[in-house]
Amino acid sequence: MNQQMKTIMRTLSLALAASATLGGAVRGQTFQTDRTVDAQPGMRLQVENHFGRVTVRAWDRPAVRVQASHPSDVRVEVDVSGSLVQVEASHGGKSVEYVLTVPADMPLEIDVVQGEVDVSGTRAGMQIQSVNGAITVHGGDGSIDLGSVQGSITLEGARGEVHAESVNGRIQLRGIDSGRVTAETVNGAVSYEGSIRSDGWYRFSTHNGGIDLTIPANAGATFTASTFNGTLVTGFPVTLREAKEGKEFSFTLGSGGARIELETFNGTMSIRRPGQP
Amino acid sequence: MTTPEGDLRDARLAFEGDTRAFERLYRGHSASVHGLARRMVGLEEADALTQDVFVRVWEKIGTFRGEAAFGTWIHRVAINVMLARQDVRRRDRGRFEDDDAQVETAPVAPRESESSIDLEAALASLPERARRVFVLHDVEGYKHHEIAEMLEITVGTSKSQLHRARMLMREQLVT
Amino acid sequence: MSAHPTEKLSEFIDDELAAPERARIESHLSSCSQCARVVDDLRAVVSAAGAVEDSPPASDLWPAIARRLAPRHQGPRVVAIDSRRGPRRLSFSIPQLVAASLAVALLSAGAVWMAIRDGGGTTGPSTVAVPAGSEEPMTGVTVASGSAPQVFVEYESAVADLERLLDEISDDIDPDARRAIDRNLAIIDQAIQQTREALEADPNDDYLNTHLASTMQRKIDVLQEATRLVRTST
Repeated sequence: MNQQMKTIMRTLSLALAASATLGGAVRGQTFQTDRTVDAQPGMRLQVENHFGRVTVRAWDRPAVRVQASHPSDVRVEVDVSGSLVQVEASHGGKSVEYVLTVPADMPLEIDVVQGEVDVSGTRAGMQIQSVNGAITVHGGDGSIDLGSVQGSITLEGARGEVHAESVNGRIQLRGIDSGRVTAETVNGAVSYEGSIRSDGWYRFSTHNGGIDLTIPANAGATFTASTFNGTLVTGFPVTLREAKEGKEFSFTLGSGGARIELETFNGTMSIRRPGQP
Repeated sequence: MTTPEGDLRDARLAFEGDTRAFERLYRGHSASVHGLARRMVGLEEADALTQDVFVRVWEKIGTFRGEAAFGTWIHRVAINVMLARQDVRRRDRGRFEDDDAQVETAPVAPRESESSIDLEAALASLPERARRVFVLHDVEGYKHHEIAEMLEITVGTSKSQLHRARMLMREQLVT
Repeated sequence: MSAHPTEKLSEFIDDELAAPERARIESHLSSCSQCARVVDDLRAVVSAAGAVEDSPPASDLWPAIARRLAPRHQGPRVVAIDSRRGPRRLSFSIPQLVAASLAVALLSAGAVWMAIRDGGGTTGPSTVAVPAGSEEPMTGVTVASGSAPQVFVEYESAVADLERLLDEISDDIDPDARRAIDRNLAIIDQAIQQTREALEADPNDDYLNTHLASTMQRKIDVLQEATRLVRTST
């Protein structure tokens, strides 16, 4: 790893440390906007924020509560039209921090340029995009599409189709129950812990970084693993077929039903079962 | 030119990522979407809005299940895009101001049959709220309760705006 | 209350009145030619609105729309995965396949890319990738060879267009976000460079070729997505 990469990684870990501190600051925050609108089943939430953190929590009321802290000359708009609840601020360039409370089954569409997104407790699909900021999601069910340019992606306890994409950031997927998962980054590690369905398709790819897979002991899957400078490590014995010595491998576990693809240019691909180090 | 089966097939292909199928949908429905855009926001913004609508449709096409005709569905998407966009514009000049005093003069399409030109010219002269309700009810065929939901107004307001729009249109069209 | 029920005439022609009120208006109309005239006029307005004709936009909006369509994220977007298993893997050049699909993907947002994937099926993409009528197997075309394939020229130009677009809206972007975008583009460039160097040593490696194409595609994605996010949020 060269100097530039090291600097970037250091910046990233600092950013992550800062976000952990901020996470606790939601309580006690003062809000200049606090509005609640009714939300019928089938409605979805769309949030656009240029600058500032977006926190989403779930409750069991059929309503969306929008709390936001922002400068006094910013107006936060909450529009309900058709099946859409839209949240947006009038001055795109100024910092607006949102705390949104939504019905757990409400699909989310969140776009942020500069700022983190933290979603917890929902049981719906979501599309979350950020240019500069980490995305952290606990929960989710349905089509889950998370994309960050600069920032890590963490998804825990989700079901449905999962797609996670970053450029400079690690991707961590834990406790996932899904038959379709893709996770791709350029600079950062990728880890997956979750189900492997016999008809599933899983793809994990990075340029600089390891890939860490923890899969059920009884998983049946056909693996293909490709690398340029990396290696493959498995926590259990497998019979490798090497399409290209040291670079492209395949092997089958159990029935071989699922399709799992791993790619890293520089990094170690590691496959283990739960409990293995 | 378009058939429900063909549209549904193309919508599924587009959902899978097939942009040629999506282009077919564009070819089949761009005239009606553009017409709706022109009537809702005027010719000047209609091109940009039509583009926004189809980009949105590409993003949302997975939610089209074929219960309604694709044309109906896409118009609904289009209306949502337009309303969101108009809301954004309106914010700049104060959200709750009454637009009754404003008579917008959006340019009119030059290429239509004469009666269409007349109608669109008359439409462009309507106040915004009345125009929206008129387009949604009399051109698009939505019911008052649907319009009320879309525009966040009461059914009574929708009815009175429609009547107001028709009376203004009458002045323009009927001599 | 006015003797003329003008305010109710729209509801009257839409048949939205309760029977007693409807009857009252019908009776009024039979004796008031002024109101009867309004009813006729309103019906004419409604009928004109219902008969309005649509015509396509004056200019073709499709190219501009196609440029804005985000690629689908459904499994691998790069094709050649299946080709690893195909018996004819040397009958065409994967660099060119990937490159060609990339070029078109850039121009028409993925149409051919997807077509190759869909059309390839289990037999691999070679049947679609080789241009019809091309007798000569396109072997040995390397990414890093002296004459860079046209596709990379097109790629660079598409990237330049997108970067110009991003620059145009640069004033609207938060400076930290703008720096993050630049930094990440540099990271991608570095990955592209490393992969190209690796390809010089091993021009026909499937993984390297697909990896190159997907990393290049990633750069396009980042530029498009950043532009979209900035535009929608300002």
